[in-house]
Amino acid sequence: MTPILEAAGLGFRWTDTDRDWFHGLSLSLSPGHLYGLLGRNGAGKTTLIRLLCGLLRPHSGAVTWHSSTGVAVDTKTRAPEILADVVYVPETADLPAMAADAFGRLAGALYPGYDHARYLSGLAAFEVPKATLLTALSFGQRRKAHVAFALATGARLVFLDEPTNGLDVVAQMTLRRLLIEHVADERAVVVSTHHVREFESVVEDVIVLEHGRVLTHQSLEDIQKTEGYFDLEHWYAGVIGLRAQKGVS
Amino acid sequence: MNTARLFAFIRFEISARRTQFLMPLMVAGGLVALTCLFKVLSGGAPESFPTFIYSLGMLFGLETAVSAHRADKLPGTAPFFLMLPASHAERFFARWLLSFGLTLAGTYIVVQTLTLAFGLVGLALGREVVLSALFPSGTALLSMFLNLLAWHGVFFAGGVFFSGNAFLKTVFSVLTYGIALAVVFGSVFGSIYFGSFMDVGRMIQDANGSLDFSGTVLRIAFGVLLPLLLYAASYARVAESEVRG
Repeated sequence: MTPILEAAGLGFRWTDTDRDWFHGLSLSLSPGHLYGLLGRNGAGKTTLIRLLCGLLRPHSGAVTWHSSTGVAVDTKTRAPEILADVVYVPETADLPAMAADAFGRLAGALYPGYDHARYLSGLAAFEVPKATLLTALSFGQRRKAHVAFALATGARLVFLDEPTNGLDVVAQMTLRRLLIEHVADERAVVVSTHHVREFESVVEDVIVLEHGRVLTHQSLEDIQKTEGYFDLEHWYAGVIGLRAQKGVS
Repeated sequence: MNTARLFAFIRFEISARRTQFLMPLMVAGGLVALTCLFKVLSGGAPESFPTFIYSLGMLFGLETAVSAHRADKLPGTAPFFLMLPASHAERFFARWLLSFGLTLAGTYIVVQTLTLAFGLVGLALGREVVLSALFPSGTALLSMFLNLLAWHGVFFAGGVFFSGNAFLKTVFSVLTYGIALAVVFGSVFGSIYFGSFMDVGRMIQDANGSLDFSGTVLRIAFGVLLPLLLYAASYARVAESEVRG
């Protein structure tokens, strides 16, 4: 299956540091998958997401977006077609001061595949009032509105950075349900999280990042088959710990 | 450039930043109202006051450009706006149209409505008030348009190039570059036309109409070339800063 995004030989360094954040990183994200992006603090999860989205420009290598019709474009062009197909929900981001309903209609007009009914249904599932100004909502409510919008844009790839931060238990369950429904529609979601257990039941592929490198990228099924692990958090701690024991960290 | 997407982007920006646009318009409206009131009460015939319009142009230009979000900072709503599906050209043109077109259209509506209202009040009070002159027309309008374009270009570029204290930095830059340019142009043109260097005062007199040719050259340079170059530089900078790491 053609991936939606493909990173090859990615290298990146922040302008104010001399350390290479990423060096020769390669990764591909395909439709129909729910990826869990794991890594310790400072592993580079958010930076990687921004690089993949085209919000940051790699110093070497390239990120290629493949359209559903087979066209391949470098994401550094930030072409509107790419931005309509790859949506990013950051860990902390303000939304404009407008009612949740109006926000969906106005911002959604920029996305060819936007489905307002789906957005309203997402808001209802998360119990977010549609007539209230987004800026008047609590942090958790704003995040829920943002996630509901991202899932309604029609984008084939959605990046969620720590999506459960600020969400109550019921909202977390709703989020997991919405993500499963979303991925079943031949779309992909990448969830960057430290709360491994919260996504264990829904994640299909696990990408572990450590010091700018993909430590491992496996399907949960393969992990369970080959390594016999049934507890994702223990497996993840083992992977990270093993690395530390080898003195690499 | 996709027109439908451009207008969808403009609609979203207007709605998302309505306070940012409404506040300066309300301040300008208040100032216009006060001026009109003073003129009605004193019975004088006011001159046009493009200063308000220039000020608005500068403010809008600066504010809009400052919010040309940078990927390396990512404050507030920046990640959301940067991820909206629109091309660099559409984002840039939308900002330009909002800050320049809105300035002209908004102030025109505010000024004309208020002058008409106060003119009627003046007539009712039996005073001879000529308020229609408040908004320029004909050549004066063209001149105002070019001046506004130039100042908008300067402050728009200031907003793009300076990320903090953009207003002060832009003013200092204008003063610095203005003096430097006056000296350079004074030297070059002064030596060509008057046979002496540094005749800046003569140049300014010249630009004011005593000699038509160099005055026109300076006006074109200021009203057309300067803003075009500044907009081009701003566009390149925005396109670069939106994606740099």
